[in-house]
Amino acid sequence: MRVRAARLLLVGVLGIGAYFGITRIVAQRSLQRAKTAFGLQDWRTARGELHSYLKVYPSNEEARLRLAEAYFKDSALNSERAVSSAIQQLGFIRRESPLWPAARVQEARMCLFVRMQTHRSERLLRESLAADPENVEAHYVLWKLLDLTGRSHLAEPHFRKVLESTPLEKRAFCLREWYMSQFYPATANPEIDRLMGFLEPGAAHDASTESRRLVRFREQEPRAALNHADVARWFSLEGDPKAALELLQQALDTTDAPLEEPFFVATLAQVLYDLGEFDRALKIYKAWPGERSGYEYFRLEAIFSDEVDRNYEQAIVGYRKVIAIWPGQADWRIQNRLARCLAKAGDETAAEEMRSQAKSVELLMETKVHSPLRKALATPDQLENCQQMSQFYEQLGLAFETQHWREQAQRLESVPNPSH
Amino acid sequence: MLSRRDAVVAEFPPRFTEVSAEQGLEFTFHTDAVPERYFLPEIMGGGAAWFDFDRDGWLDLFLVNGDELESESRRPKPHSDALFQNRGGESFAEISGVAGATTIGYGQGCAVGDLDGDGFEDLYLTGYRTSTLLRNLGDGTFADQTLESGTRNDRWGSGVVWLDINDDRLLDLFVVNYLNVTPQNREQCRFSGVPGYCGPGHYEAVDDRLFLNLGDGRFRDVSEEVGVTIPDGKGLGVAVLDFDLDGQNEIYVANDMTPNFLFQRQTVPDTGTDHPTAMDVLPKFRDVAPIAGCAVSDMGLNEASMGVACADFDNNGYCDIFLTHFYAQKNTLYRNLGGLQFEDDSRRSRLVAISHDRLGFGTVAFDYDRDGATDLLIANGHVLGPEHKPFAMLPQIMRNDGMARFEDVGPQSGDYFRQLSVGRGAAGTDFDNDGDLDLLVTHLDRPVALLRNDTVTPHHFLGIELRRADRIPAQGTQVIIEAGTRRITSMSIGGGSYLCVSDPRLLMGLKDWSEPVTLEIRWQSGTVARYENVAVDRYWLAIEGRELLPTFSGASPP
Repeated sequence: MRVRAARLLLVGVLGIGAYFGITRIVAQRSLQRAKTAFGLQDWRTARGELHSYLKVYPSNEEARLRLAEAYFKDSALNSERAVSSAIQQLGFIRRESPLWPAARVQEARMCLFVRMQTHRSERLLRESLAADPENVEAHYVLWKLLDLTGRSHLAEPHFRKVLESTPLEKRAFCLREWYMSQFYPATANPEIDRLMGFLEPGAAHDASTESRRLVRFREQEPRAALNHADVARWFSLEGDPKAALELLQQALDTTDAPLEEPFFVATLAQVLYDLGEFDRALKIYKAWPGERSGYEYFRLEAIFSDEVDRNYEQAIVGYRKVIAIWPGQADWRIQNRLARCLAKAGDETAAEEMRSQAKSVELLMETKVHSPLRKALATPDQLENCQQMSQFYEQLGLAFETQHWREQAQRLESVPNPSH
Repeated sequence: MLSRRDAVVAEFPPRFTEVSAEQGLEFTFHTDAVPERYFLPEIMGGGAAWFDFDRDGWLDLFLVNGDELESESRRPKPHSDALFQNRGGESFAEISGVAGATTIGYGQGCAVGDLDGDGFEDLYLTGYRTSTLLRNLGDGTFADQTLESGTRNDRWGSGVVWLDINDDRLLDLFVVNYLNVTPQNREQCRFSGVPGYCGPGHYEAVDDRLFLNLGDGRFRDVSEEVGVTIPDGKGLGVAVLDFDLDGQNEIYVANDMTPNFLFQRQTVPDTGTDHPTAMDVLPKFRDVAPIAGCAVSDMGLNEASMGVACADFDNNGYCDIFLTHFYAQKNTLYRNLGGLQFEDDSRRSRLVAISHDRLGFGTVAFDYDRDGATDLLIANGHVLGPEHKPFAMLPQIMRNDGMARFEDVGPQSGDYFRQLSVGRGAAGTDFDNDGDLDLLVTHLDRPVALLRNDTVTPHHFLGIELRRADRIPAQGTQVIIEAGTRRITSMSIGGGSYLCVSDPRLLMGLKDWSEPVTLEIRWQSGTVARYENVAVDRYWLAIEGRELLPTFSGASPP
């Protein structure tokens, strides 16, 4: 009896072992087949195989990531269903996992491009970057998100990270994207606008594309204060501060913690200032949330020193800070303000210099300067076009961009001309 | 933390009643607008001048008319200008035909001045490549003396003002020119796909001109010699006054999308001769607007300046500059800090908040409720063309709270202010001599509107008519009223608004002060006249070097 029982036990153990062994082999084969299916962009097969694999290896986070991708990339699926399924898979990836930042970027992309949830997307991207500051994809998506939401002036650090990781021979294209982001942010990303449905295939941007985009983003996340601030900033830049204030005042009651968003606070303070509500503007500004630095913060500080406090010495210091930060170098209006304060402080020589600098910058912003540049950027990997770009940036006083375009020119100079 | 600002309810709401028809004022500016032609002059409107041409003490009205724009013939125009005689504040009668007060060509702006010192005020009219000097013969008629006077301006003239540039006690003439637009170079622009009028950016500027009065009925163009031919001035409005209280007037020119000019007179060279001629004492003018801070906005932007109103809005003793601008731009207030230094105070004054959705032209600084704070009238209307919305706009009355902060109280001001119109010129006048300023607005799309000031207020006023000993207009003369502890200042200003001439008398609000006041007049000659115990709620005639003379008593406040 005992021997028989032992044999049965052995058979059972061997059977179970064989089952698990076979299952694992099958799972590994599923993974292989999934990889093949990925190569073929056969997302349905890839998903089936990855689901099989994950039954055996449920904690394999890379497989979860791939499965999320297989959902997201399958255009045959209803996009919301695909995104929900993908995000569900990404939710299995633990915070301590090295794949966590990539998972957040993946989720952010889906939230941005499919759900048009810019606020959630931005939060995910910033979380990803907090965990992995070198995550290039996160930097890239965040850069694009800032363009799309009318905050391209905050994108420079992300562009720089992307540029650093771009191979030298591809950098001209990255620099081209940055030029568009700097000078034509509202129309810098036509492909994304098409993908998101803001542009018909083959159509060009019109005057309403940006506002429609911003309003849609706000509709998608009505409780996100930043989305309201983006729309209000658009109105403010269009010269309608009253409409901007109305939107912001509504948002104060209907959104989550609006006064904890620096951009919201900056927009509100700016609009109140524009409307002559100096006391209220200062009150808002003085409660600035988070880090007290950056273009928006210094700009308002300088303007308030100038116009509210009439402290021209302090305003000069402030304006100098502002024009050292992008887009201050191209902001001839701020440079004119600095010139005015220098004059009021009695330094007419410096004021005249600054006035002249502002005038030069103003002239560099004219369409007749940018039309040939945009034409040149159709083929940014040509020597003369790179030289043209570096000259433009040099005139504008932007050393970083000048140097990089010059490097591109030098690289192209050293490449033998294929026609010889 | 944030709350919506309460709706503005003025303590003594402005009340203006349109009385054009009942007063017999029927006049519509002939724009000569031709569909789809988009010839810019036809969208700019015409001016008006209040002046007492017959010296009966009641201000008469001259209204400039348009003509066929592409007509080359110099023939009497079918749509003539109009001179309306004021019959004691009760009605107006058109006497243009009798008086011979009409011009040739497409008219624009006007200026009033007694160029020959005969006591009767003459007229100079600018126009689209035309101009006319109408001399008031003193017998109820006018004579065209353009050619013999040498004041013909064949450019597109807009604002114009008489002034004495060289202290020779002869009135000279400063003509503001706008753009070089001709039937040959006119362009059509598209805005969001819809055709419309191209703006000043599409055309070259034409220089302003200064005609020096030689004293024998002839004038000489001295624009180059005196330095007023600054390139790229696309001028519309003009004002002459003493911004820095140094006893010499400056000329401020409101330019459309190019930097504004502030011409400061430089020292006249010593000729070394005992009997210098007018040419010997020709001064030089220098444009100091960039260093004075009133050429461009606080951010260095060229603004589309159309109309200009100068007054001491913040009661600091210096005249500030208010400019009307384009749609979706702010109107601008340059606050005068003294020492010929200005700052763009458009935000603090809350003008940004109430001007972005209007396109302003004519503007008048006046104290509608006599509270001692100078308010503003603005005539609004777009320029792209009727196919573009908004084209017609609501006019505005901007109430000054006393600290140069403005609120739009137009909607409370009467029916006229609740009707859309395409406003252009605006002029202030106390046509019925009752001690409050009435308004006149010219339009493109409707007849002129005469708006009688029926504001009910317990406040008091003092009216001053200033007359220099040499009969030169009292531009730059400062008047200071001491009413108890309050000091109220005002200044006589030449030009102003857009294409129009307002009542030259100063009407100063005293709020609730009803006792006699002390009046100080600082004439440009350096003479300071001080009058004690001056009764209020009436007009006084102040002639330099003489005692005050009572004129109209005005209506007593209730």
